[in-house]
Amino acid sequence: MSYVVEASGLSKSYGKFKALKNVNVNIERGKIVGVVGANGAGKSTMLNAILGLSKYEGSLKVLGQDPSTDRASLMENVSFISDVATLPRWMKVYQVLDFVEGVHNNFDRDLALSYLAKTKIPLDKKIKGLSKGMVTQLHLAVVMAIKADLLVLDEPTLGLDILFRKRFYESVLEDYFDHDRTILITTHQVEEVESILTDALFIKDGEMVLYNTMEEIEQEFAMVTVENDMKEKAEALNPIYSSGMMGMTSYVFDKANEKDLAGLGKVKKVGLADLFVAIMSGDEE
Amino acid sequence: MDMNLARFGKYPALIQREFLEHKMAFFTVPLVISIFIVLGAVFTALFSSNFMDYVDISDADLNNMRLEAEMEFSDMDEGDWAKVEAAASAVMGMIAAPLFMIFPFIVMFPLLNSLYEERVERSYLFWKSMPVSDVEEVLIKMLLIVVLGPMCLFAMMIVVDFLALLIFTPVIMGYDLPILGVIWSAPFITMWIGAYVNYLAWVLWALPVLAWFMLASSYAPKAPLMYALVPPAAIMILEAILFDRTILGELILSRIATKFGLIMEDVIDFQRFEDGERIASLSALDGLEAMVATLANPSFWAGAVVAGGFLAGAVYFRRFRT
Repeated sequence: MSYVVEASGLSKSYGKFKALKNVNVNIERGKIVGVVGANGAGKSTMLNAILGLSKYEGSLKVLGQDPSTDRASLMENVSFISDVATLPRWMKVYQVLDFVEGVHNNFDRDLALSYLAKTKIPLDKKIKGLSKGMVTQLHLAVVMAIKADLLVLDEPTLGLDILFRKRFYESVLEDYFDHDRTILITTHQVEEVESILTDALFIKDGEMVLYNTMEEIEQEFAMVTVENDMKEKAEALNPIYSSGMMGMTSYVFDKANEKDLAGLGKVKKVGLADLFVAIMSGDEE
Repeated sequence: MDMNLARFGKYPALIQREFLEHKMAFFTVPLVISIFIVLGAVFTALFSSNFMDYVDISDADLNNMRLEAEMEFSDMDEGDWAKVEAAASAVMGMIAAPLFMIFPFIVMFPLLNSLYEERVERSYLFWKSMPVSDVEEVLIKMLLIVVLGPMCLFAMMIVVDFLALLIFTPVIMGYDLPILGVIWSAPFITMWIGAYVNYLAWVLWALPVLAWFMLASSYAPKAPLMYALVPPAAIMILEAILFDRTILGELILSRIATKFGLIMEDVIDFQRFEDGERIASLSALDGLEAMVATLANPSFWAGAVVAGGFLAGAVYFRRFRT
């Protein structure tokens, strides 16, 4: 099977600090992968390596190419937003479109214009005259109008209001995504992307601690909220995380027996945000 | 995109972007200076046409002067006319000279900002999301700033001279002097084209210095001018203290100032029209010959290797500095 991203022993150090530690992952085509981690966990470091923006150790292939040496040709089939507000401030909106149309064979100007028509962005205004939200909207319009095999979105909706964020993720799913395309996405608003993800990849302190499909996560993890008198029984089943609130305690279990859990209280599927907190703070329990 | 441009791939778009980014240096600033020169020409022409109102001279004396001038002109041979034409060319050179004077700054500041600004405003992340390599980016920036951008400046010099000629034509006609034809035939267009080609010959020599500015632009965390000037200045001071001379300083001077000074001298050389030599000797052909001679000079190639090293450094920093 050909993978869109094949990483083996992927590592990155800044002096003595190891930002990425021996990540091994293969990402298949047609996936929407949420890359989840705390600030400084190594998400952007991993994405930067995938995009050929930084050096790394280990082996990495993206669409069969080595991003550290083939970034330019890789960008024919990869598009990304790696930070907010990175559009050149001195350019006018239409000049950005002119430029991308001129250098990118897979850019569809009409599609970008159709995205922009849904916003209030004037084409003849300089980027520095646009609000932060408008700059992000413009950048997203440009990126979504590039017919790429891999789209990487690193905090794509930072600074945008909830309405636009919701519309954007709907648009990613309905207008952009198809089963030949792959999307890697990081965001702190995990709940907002959860519904569109096919896979989740958790990074903790530079290490990949989980990479599963959403179905696998649903099958593997469960959350049970128990009364105080059931706490002892629940803890006997080795939960990976617990949190108490208003006289009740919620436990997250990994690969626990369904019947055992049902006897404790109401079993729910674990939301990505809860799972994230559970896995990230698991060692501290 | 225009179908004719499409066959050149991404390069027209890259060049257009560079021009837009440095429009201030290559278009706006020279345009403002050109407007001042042209306004200056208009005021001078207005003053000259009313000159006789300000001088106390009788009509008879004025008539005598005119007759004398006519006689002098009628006695002139071909060599003398060549002198007039050379003088006219020198004056044309003088008129557009302010544009020429700003040249070093027009090239230096865009070079210093080229890789620095994109890092400060973080737009390098956007540029890197495009299928354009760092080598292509650095070379296109160098090409636009050093070779193509300055074309605008020389084109403006030609336009300014042309406008000055138009403005002064009625004044000369008012004095009824038979020099209009000679002045209009002054080869100012070929002069500035020649100056441009000679400038390109200078670029070959100055490549290490120009590439150094680009390198400074790629690594300076702030104030790229300081990062460009302080290291060589420190070396020169050290050399001066230790050896009582500075080889680096002499090298830099020989590569930028001397050659550039020669071009300036050729453009505004009054000795040349005294000698009856046409100013148009600063021709494109001379420039091409200078280029060929430069290419045959091992010292140029030594500089080219150094420049290549600096540009490779600029590519490296652009690639990995985030």
